[in-house]
Amino acid sequence: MITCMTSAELLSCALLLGRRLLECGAEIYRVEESIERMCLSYGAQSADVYAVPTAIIATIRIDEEEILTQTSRIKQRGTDLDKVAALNGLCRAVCTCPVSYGQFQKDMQQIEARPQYSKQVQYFACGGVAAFFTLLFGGSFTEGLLAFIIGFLLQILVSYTERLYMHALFTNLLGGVWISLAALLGIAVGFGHNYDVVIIGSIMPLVPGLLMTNSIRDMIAGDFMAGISRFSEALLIAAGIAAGAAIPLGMRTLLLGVF
Amino acid sequence: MGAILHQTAASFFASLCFAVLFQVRGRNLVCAAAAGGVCWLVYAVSGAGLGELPAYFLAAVATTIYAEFFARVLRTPAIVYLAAGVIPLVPGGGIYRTMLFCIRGAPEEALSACINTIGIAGAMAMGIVIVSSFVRMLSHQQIIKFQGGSSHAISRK
Repeated sequence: MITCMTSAELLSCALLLGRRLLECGAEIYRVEESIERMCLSYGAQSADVYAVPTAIIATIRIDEEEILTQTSRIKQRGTDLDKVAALNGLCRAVCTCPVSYGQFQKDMQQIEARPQYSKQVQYFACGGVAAFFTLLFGGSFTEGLLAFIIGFLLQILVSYTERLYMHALFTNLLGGVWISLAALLGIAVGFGHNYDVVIIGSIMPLVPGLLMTNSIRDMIAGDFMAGISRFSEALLIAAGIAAGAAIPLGMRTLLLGVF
Repeated sequence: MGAILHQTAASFFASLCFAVLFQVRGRNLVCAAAAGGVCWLVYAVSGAGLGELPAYFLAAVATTIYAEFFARVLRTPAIVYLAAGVIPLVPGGGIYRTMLFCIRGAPEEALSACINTIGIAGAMAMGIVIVSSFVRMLSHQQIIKFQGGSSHAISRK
C-alpha cells in the first residue's frame, strides 16, 4: 500500500528526482539508491532501478497485481553540485517523512529556483582556474596573467557554443585551438617565455578529470555500462582538446621549422 | 618548503575557482577549496620521498578521507568536496605531452606519455575507490545494526 500518493505519482516523482540528480552530475549509485529508497519508504514492495548516464529505467512492485515501469532519457548533463546536495537532502527528508504529490512538486520547484553563479562570475572563475594552475605548474606571474585572460575568454567561448547546442567534441576542439593559439601569441608578444605551462594550465578547465575518475569508480562499483559510457565520453573530450591544441602548434612547426 | 606552501596556496585557489564552476555555494565552497589544498600538500610532501604514482595515490586517499569526513559532519554528499578537491591531480599535463609527442612525430615517447597519463588516472581512481568503498561498508553496517540486522532496502552491493 502506497502512502500519500498514487503509485503512478510515486514512480514519476522518484524518477524526476533521479533524473535531476543525474543531470546535475551525481554518481550512478546515488541515483539508483535514491529512487530505490524513496519508492520503498513510500510502501512499494520492491523497486528495481537501472541507471546509465544517458537513461534511467525503474520498475516498482506495489502488490501482487500492480507492477509499474517508467523510463527517462537523459539528454543534457552538467555539473551543479549545489543542486545535488539539495536533491539529496530532499530525498532523505521524504524517506523519513513521506509528503504528498503537490508538496513534493513544490519542493522540487524550490530546488530548481536555487540561485546559480552568474555568467560573469563563471568567466572570472574559469580565468582563475587557468591562472592558478599555471602558477601551480611553475609558471611566472606574467604567464599566470596570460592564462587568466585565456581562461576568461575561454569560458565566454564555451558558454556561447553551449547556447548553439554545439556538439561537445567540437566545443572542446575549438577550446583547444583557442588556448594554444592565444598562448603562442601571448608568449610571442612578451608575456613570459614558456608556452607549455600556459597551455597546460589553461586546458585544465576543459580536461574531463571528474568524468574520468567517476568512470573508473563506476566500473569498480560494478556499474560497467555506466563506466564505459562515461569513459568513452571522457576520451572523446580529451581527444578533442588535444587535437584542437595540436592545430596551432603544428602550424607553428610548419611556419618556423623548429620547436 | 616555501615552494610547497606557495603551490598549496595556488592549489587552494584553483580548487576554489573550480568549485565555483561546479556551482558549490556557501561554507561548502570553503571546504571544497581546502580539499584542493590538502590534496596538493599530501602530493608534494609524499612525492618528495616516494615517487610519482604512489604520491598521486596517497593524495587521492587523503582528499577522499577529508571529503568523507566533512560529508558526515555537514550532511552533504562527499562528491561536493571531492570533485573540486582532486582536480589538482588531474593529468592535464600528461594529455598535453602525449599530444605534443604525437605532432612531433615521436610515437614511442607519445605512447609512454599516454600510458603514464592512464597510470596517474588509475592511481587517483584507486585511492578514491578504496576509501569510499571502505566508508560505505562501515556506514551500511551501522544502518543494519540500527535496524536490527535486516533490511532489504540496503542489501545492494
